[in-house]
Amino acid sequence: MDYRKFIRMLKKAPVDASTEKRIWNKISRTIQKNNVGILSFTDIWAKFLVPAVALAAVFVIFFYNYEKQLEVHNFVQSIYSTENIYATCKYDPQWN
Amino acid sequence: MITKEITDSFVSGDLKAFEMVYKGTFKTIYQLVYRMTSNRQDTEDLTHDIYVRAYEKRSLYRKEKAGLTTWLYRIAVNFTLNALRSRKRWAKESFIDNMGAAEALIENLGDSELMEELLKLLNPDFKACLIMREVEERPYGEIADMLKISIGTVRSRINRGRSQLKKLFKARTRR
Repeated sequence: MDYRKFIRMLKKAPVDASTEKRIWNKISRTIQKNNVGILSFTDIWAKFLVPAVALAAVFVIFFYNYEKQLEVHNFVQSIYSTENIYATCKYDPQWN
Repeated sequence: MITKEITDSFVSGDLKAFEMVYKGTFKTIYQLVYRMTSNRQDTEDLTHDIYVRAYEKRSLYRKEKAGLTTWLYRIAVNFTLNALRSRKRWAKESFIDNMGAAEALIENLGDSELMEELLKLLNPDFKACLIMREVEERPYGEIADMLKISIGTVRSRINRGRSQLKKLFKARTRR
């Protein structure tokens, strides 16, 4: 055998219909057994995790802003509380 | 013939469409794997694994980049190469590195056994390039694209594989 014959022999790789059928039966069994039809990691990531992460981010931003607003609100409240106004104006209600 | 409708149904997970894809591509994939492994049992196992992997990864298929057959072929080449590389006997001590032992081994073999032995001993990277170029007559650019290597590397691997095989055949006929 020489190199050319070797290549010619390689070209004649055997395939038969029964092998094709047998492998397909095995493949379809595996797919059904593994339930490959259910979501793969990529699908799970795309369909659930990305929206979940986005939703979590929205909540975090919302609560962060809410906290900030609450802080400002409390600060304003503390400035404008009656005691503070009295203190700032040096007003003593008992003067009356 | 794999139509656009079959491709779309396959991507959406339809098992019937997948069966049609299988029937349309089986011969190409099976022959490639057989040429790479030269063992029927390994070929059947790897072909099974390749199609299951393709079904699992169907959402990654981009029809604007390549045809479904090309995509499957690419999975098959890389899957088989990885399987062969993971087998220790192919890793370092291929006949490329151990010519004397290989010559002694193949001295008394018939043609078909010789072919199988040579294929088993040949470095998988050289073998993949040789099969795609010499047997399947694919252009260098396509081989480079499939294996994600440069055209220069493809040429070099083909030449190295070819010259080692020729040397071996010459050594055998001298005896």
